[in-house]
Amino acid sequence: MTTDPQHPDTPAHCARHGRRRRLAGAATLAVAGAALVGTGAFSSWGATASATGGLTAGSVSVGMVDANGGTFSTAVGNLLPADYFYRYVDVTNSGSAASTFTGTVTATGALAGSLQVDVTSCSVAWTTVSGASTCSGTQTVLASGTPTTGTPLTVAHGSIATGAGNAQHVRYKVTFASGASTSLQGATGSIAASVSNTVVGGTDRTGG
Amino acid sequence: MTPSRRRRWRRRAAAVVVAGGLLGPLAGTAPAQAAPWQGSATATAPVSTARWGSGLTLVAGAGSVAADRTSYSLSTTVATQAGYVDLANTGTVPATLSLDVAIGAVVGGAPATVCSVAWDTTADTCAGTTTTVTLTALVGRTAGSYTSPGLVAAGDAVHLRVKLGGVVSGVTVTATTVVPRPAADRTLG
Repeated sequence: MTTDPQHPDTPAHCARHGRRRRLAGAATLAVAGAALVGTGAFSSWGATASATGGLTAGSVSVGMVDANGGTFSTAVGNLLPADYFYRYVDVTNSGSAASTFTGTVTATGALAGSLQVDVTSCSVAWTTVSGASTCSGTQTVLASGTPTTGTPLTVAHGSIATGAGNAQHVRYKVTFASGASTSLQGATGSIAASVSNTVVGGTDRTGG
Repeated sequence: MTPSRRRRWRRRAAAVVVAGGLLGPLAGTAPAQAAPWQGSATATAPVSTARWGSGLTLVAGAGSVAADRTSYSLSTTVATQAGYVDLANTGTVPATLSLDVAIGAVVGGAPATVCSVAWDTTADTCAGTTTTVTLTALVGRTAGSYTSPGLVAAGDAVHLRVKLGGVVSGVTVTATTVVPRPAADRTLG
């Protein structure tokens, strides 16, 4: 066996081999450490919190309930000039929140333009005593006018809270014009009342 | 740049401008609006108006009624003649009915009589109450009018008998004003 004088066989005499071994050892440790990290060998402490808020979609619903013993849709025949009749309706907000209601009264047929309509609300239910309708609470005139073809009478019902207990007690008085032309003898038509509300979202509900 | 390339470049530029003009408003800056929710309810009542009028009908006896039912004529002779005429309420509501009686001669007696029920034209009798139509003698003629004392129901009638003799003349009965019942509260029908 020959020996290179620049490169003795004994480790003690080989500085280059020593550096290589140290580098190799360090590399081995580095690779092993990386492998440990990669395989999740380190223990970890974790905590998770959650909160749930109940969300419910709102609803919009309007009710017109016959009131004071009458029925709105009951036909009225043989009207003479200055004849009149009453109809009573409870307007209810069956939706999920108070909102503003508007209404219309429409007259159709040959009688459009000849039916005077007066819409009045009462803070309590209407009653009829001896044929006369009375309001023992506060009366409020909601609208008054003569609907014509294409131009209904607009009724401002205002804000109505939800629930049957907050119903708006509405009376419609319909009067056939005292000066109606005799050409209207035997004429037919109809009177229709509508109530609606519109709810638009887009409000900040952070607070509820 | 050659002329042809310049034209292509201009066409492309114009297309870009047009596309921007069309797409711009669509992607405008107006804020998005929440869709409204609407509730509604409707109630409807049919309505109709009344008709009012009257018409004459010859029930029995002499004379004739005009086609339009507005008049009745009887030519009188020396012999006594009688005509039974109904003045009917041809409207759809109760009404007060009226008629005029005119005789072309001065006559006495009670040539025109109303019965509260239909005349028995065979026996010439009234089972109800009779009312004489008051006539006034004028120059060469006699005339008067009658109005029902109350409302006559739709379809009902005033029952008139005209009975005259001993004079050659003519009698005319004319249906006149009809006054329908007064205006009323119709809430209950």
